Order: sequence, then structure tokens, then C-alpha cells
Amino acid sequence: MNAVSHSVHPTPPGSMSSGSPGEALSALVDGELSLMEWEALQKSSLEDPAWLSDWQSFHLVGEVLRGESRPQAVSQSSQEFLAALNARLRAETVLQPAVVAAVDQGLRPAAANEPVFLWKMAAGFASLVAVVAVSWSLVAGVDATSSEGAQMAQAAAPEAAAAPATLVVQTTQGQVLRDARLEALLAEHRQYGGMSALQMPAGFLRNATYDAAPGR
Amino acid sequence: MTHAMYRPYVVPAGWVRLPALFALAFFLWMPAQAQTPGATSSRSVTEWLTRMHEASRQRAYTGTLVVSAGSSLSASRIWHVCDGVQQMERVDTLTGAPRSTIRHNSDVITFAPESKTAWVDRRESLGVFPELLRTPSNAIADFYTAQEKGVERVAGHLAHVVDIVPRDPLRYGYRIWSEKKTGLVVKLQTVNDKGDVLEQTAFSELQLDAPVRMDKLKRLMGATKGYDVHKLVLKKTTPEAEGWRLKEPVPGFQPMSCHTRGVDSAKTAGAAPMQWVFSDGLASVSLFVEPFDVQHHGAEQSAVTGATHSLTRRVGSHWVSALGEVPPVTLARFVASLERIR
Repeated sequence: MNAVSHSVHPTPPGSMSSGSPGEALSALVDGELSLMEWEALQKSSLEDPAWLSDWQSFHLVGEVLRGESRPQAVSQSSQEFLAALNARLRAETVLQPAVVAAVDQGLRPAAANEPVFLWKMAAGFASLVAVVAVSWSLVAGVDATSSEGAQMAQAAAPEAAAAPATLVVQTTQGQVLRDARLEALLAEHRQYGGMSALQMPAGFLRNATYDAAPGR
Repeated sequence: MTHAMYRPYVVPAGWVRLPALFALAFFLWMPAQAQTPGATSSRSVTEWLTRMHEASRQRAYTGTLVVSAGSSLSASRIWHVCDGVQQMERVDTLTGAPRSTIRHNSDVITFAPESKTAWVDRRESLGVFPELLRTPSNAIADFYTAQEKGVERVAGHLAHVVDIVPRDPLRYGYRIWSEKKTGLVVKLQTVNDKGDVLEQTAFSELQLDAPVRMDKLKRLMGATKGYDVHKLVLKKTTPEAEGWRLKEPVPGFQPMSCHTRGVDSAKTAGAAPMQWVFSDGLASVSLFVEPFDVQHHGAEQSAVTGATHSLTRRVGSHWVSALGEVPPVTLARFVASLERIR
């Protein structure tokens, strides 16, 4: 019975092989979550606001226990992050019509992007973002009360308007490099062209995290 | 017997010299250290960058790194260890395709456990900048300024917030969180002139001075048994030899390297484009030039992912793709300036 009140978001049966999302989350915080479990967690729970608040409180508890607590700072920064994320998502809704059009033009049957992992990820993310974006606009209404959100939405609009001069590809995942060849070049740019004083302290880690060698 | 007993008193000539050497080394090391805790204000951009660099060279740490570019979010588990000379890092992705990347100085191996494939290559770019920061040809301060913006907490660590502000519209700015005690970069944002965050990288959890074993990482790096190992080879060349030059340089951007890929690693059809790399010290631009091919090269376009823009143009019988963590106007200047010389 209580399952009804709990499972507002769909949890695919069998996707969480080990324990509840709560346990998996706890394992994630401790850095003990395996890749498989992380993926399952990502699929099932990431859009759940309860999950996010759990995530926040686990960290808070951890920090308090370790005696490094400044609880206000912790919760504040998480809220800032969420506010920024939500603002970003709101900005995405502005771009949505373009995507619908692109899909209607029969990009799906072509499936030219099928073997490229980034697109699979993009597709997953796009659906997630779309769900969150739609539900957000339902909850919060289109009139963004946060000034930051309004700002970002405005910032995104001129970019889209400027598109006719050169073709900028827009999807719900953001603006992305459309073809696989460009992606390959992007990977090469990151690997062999990342000439920056920040490469050693941060760039290399960032690239290894973000790219995961696309196109390979 | 007596001889043997006196022997220790004969040796001291050498032993006296050794502490003196240590003392000398210590005094050479002192100034660099003295800067770190005390002077919180008015470090120059070069001083900040050098400090951040040194931090990663003298530490062992583990953590979880989160990268957000556009609306995509990636995460990985990081291990880092350095004995002052050798640097080793391991990056295991937690999102997207499972990849384990291990770096020993400039040597990098990437494992893809699903396809049992590994790629070995050398990233010379990793060794370029620590040296460049110290040389007079370091022109970063001519194009960026540093402003300290107080102290914030990231992943449980107090960090100085430093804004690296560009002096002209040809490059983006950066906001960097540099851990207070060590200088380690714990969070990094790329921001445009309006202050919008285009991309950010941050530790969500970080353990400094973690027990990371270099020998263990080294063993992992060699554990290619059962893997199909590909070696990526870059052939060095010059733009002149390939028949290209820039009519006029783009302010701040120095040519860094130029290469083509070895035949073995050119997987995509018709590809072994020349890659000409420029950098202003923080931002970099790659110009890829290859023969135009109707089948593979479609419409001229520009695109963006996170802070990385791209611009493709047909130049005569060639196809130019410019990519970089710079505003589109910078790429346009590069492409407009590129000229065939034969």
C-alpha cells in the first residue's frame, strides 16, 4: 500500500539489483557504488526530488560526523547548484520547439548516430531533461520567479535567434556538435590540443571524465 | 681496531656537506612555500597558476569529480599520486561508457572494459605548461588578470575563489576554487563576458593526502592482458610543410604544435587531417585541415558544446574545422586568417 505513495517516479523492476535507492545512494556517498549500480540508480532515481534531498542530507550527516560541519554552507551551496540546474532546465524549454521539428523531419529512421555512444547518452539525457523540464514548468509556471532563471533564459534566446547566420544545432540536451566527424575532431582537440596551464591540474581529469573517448 | 674506530671521524668531511646541501635545498624551497599561506591578496595570475600546478605535483588525493557542460553531467572517480617527479593518475568514469584512464606523466592508457580495447598514447601537452609558466615567453598576464573573490567551501574544503578575467573579447574567463592550504584546483568554471557559466568541473568529494600507491597504479597500467591494444601515433609536421600559414596572428594565441595522425590510427575514412594547435596559455584552439570531400563534409556550420565552439569552412579545395574553448569570434578570426601558400 505504501508503495503507492512512494513510487511517484517509475522504477523499472529489477533495475536495482542491490538494495533500495536509499542504500545505493548511501553507497554512492561512500564511494562504494559499483558502475552497474550507479547506472541503475541513475536510471531510476535521479529525477526524484526525495533522492536529491537524501543526497544532500547524507553529505550533511557525513560532514557533521567528520566534524567539518558548516551545515548552512553545505545546504546553501547545494541549493545554489539546484537553482542553477533548474534555471538551466528552464532555459531548455525555450529551445524545445526546434527539437520537435528536427525529430519530425525523420532523423529517427536514419539512425546515423546509432553507433556513437554520445548520442545514446544524449537520447537518455534528452528524455530525462524533457520530463524534468515539463514537470518543472508545470510546477513553477512559465513565469520564472528566480531572476537568475529569467536571466539565463534571456541569454539563451539571442543565441538561438542568431542561428540563421551559421547553423547551430539545438537539442534538449543543449546545443551539441551534430555529426560524428566533428565529435572525433573534438576528442582529438581535447587530447592533443588541450594546451592550457590548467591542463595538468584540471583539464586532463575533466577530459577523461567528460569525453570518455567518444567515437572510439 | 683503532683505525676502524676513528673511521667515523674521518668520514665527516662528507657528512658535513650533506646537511649543508639540505639547508641549501630548504632555503631554495622556502620562498615558494612562504608565499602560500601568508599572502592571501594580490597574487598575480601567473603566481596563482603556478601555485595550482605545484599543488597537483606534491599531493596524493582521491575524489569524485563532476563535470557539467551544457546540460550534461558526467562524473568520475579520481586517484592521483605524485612523488615530486613522477605523476600518476587514474580516472574511472561513473557515467557514460565505462572507461578507465591511467596516466603516468605524459603516457596515457585508456581501457574500455566492455569492448576489451585499450588505447596507448602520449600527451605531450601535459608537459608543456609547467615549464612555460616560468619562462619569459609566458604572456598569460598580458591577456588575463586575476582577482581574488574571497573564500568558499568545496567538497568540504575551504578554497580561495579566484577570477581569471580576460582583457579582450577573444577569450573566456575562468573562476577557479583553489584549496586554501595546498592550492589544489577543486572547482573550475568557464564563464563568458556576461558571467554565464558555460562549463564547470568540481570535486563533489575529495580526500587529500590519501594513501594512493604508485606501484599499484603502475601495475594496472601494464595490465593489458586480454585487451586489444591500439597505439595512437602522431606524426610531427609544420604548417609550412603542409602548405598553410596565418595571414595575421590572432592576438595572444601562439602556435604550439602541428601534427597529422599516423595511418594506423586514422579510423574515419579520408582522415589524417593536419592538426595545428594554438594556445594563449589558458584557452586553446585546434585547426584541422583536410582535403574537401563531398561525401563527408556537408554544410558549413558552427556549433557549441559547453565552452567548446566549433566552426567549419571550405577553403578552396580544403575543409577547415576550428575547435576551441573560445568565443566563436575567435574561431572566425582564425579561419579568416588561414591561407594556402602553395
